[in-house]
Amino acid sequence: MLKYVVKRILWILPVMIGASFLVFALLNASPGDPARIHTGSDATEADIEKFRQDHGLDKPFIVQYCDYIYKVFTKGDLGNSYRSNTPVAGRIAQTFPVTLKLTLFSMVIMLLTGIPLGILSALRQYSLLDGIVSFLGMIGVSMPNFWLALQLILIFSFHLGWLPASGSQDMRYFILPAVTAGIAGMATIMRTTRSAILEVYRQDYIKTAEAKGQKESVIIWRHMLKNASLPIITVISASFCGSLANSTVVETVFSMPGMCKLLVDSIVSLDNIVVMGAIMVLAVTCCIVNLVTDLVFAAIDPRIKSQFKRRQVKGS
Amino acid sequence: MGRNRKNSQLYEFWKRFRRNKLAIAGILFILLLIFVILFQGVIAREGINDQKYDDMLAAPSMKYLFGTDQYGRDIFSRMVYGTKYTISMGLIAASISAVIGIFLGSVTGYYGGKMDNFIMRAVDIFMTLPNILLALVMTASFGPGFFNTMIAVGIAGSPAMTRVTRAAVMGVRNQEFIEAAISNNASDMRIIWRYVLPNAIAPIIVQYTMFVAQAILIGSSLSFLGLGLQPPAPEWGSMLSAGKAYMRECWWLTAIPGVFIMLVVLAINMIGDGLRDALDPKQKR
Repeated sequence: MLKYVVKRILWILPVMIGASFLVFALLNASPGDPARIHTGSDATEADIEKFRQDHGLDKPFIVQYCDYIYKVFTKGDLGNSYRSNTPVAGRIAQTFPVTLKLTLFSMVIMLLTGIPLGILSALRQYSLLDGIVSFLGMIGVSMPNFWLALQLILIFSFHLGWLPASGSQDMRYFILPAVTAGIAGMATIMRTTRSAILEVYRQDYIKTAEAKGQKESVIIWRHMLKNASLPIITVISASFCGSLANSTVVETVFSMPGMCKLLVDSIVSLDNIVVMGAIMVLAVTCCIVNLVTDLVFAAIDPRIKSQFKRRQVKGS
Repeated sequence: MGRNRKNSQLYEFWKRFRRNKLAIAGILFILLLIFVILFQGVIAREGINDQKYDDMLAAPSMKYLFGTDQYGRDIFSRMVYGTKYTISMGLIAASISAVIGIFLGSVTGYYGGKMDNFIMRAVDIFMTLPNILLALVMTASFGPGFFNTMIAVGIAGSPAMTRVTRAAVMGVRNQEFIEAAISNNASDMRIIWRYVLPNAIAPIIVQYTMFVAQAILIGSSLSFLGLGLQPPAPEWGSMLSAGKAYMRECWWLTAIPGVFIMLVVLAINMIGDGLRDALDPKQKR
């Protein structure tokens, strides 16, 4: 078991190296020379050359990449922004908490609504409630989130005046963005919970539990949900990454000073070094979430556990 | 002689599929939109850039079905002309992902071994980033624009398609008819193309359909962020983005493009659900 855990944790390293190389290469291949774009139109050749040297752009691509990785690992240095010449790491440290808070908040909303609604509609399959929930779930995954964001602002900020439309000062500012970022994930979690519960619903052990007079709540939580938990956990971790990605749109609409807004602004202003940093932070976050999911799987799925025991017996 | 076996399978599939009323409604809606695209010049009442200075920001009425925008352009006509962008974004991006994904997936699934290992690790790396972020990075790399967005979204979708195809191919690879084809001395290409893929096609079709819907959402998000098709063109996402500034007084500027994006995606998702149920008879109640 320990071997699996260590192996799984170490696997992050090649994945991150691969992902960083991929993104670095893509951004490097973008048309337009950052030195010319960011020094302005009246820059002399000397200015451009100095900009290149300051940002290490005069070196060959592969050296640039190795320098970048080396600096990240030794100094936590993500380079300096082409546009404002401030350290990228500092700006990410400033903005990332907002993004993380938004994502965690939307996760809470997703879980508190998605799972209970999914269970409820599975228990009352083909009822009116089930029909309504399924249809709303369908709409939830089909709705463009920027549109939902605008409609929520229109209703709750402009017409009712209950919640602020932009900013991130306190918790109230996070409600509308979190709902927007979480709606697709909520719908997916709901649908997955529903089908996972339906899968175990007709199993014999549920009948046994019912026959021995077990309380319904215990049947649902212990017998059904525990056995249906694997697909639900998978979709929860996917929803976390999805909601993180949705933050790009959500933070832009609600003008929140988060990292995903920084990312979008930097793409528009061609500040590729900031794009690189922000994308890598998002990739690391997703990677950690996937890692935790896999470890949780290994801890609770008897099939993975037994696989290891058998292998050990064979090996010895 | 009657139908041959392939036809009757198709007929069985159709019999199961048409029971799903939502999926049929989805197909009808998409057919309607294709009709609109084909006859856009007849259906639209105004050109996309005809400005009516007397009727700026007019509310929906009989004269302007969906109202007008801040330049006095008829939104109904712009929506009609914009339909082709949304539909082609979905279809072409999904097709790009299908071409890449089916090729890589069938090769890795069929041959296995070192190459499989290598390609699937690369897919893992691609999949660490959610596909909208992958599409964003690629748009940053290719530069904004409609074709670039389509290619970016298509490539972003290909890792998932590779995984689906690979799993499906591995499911049929070891069956007897493949062995029979090998003993008939059929070439690998022929075996994959004639015997493996047709028997592994069901999950691929479902994934394709679902990704059409996804691609439309991602594409319109990119347009909304200003990275897709550039403004004077009547793309629904960028129309919505342009209407943001006036949304407080003029709900129709944002509501109408948004509702239509949602309806298209909803219709395709319903078709996808119907296909999944109809193609997988085991799951039937």
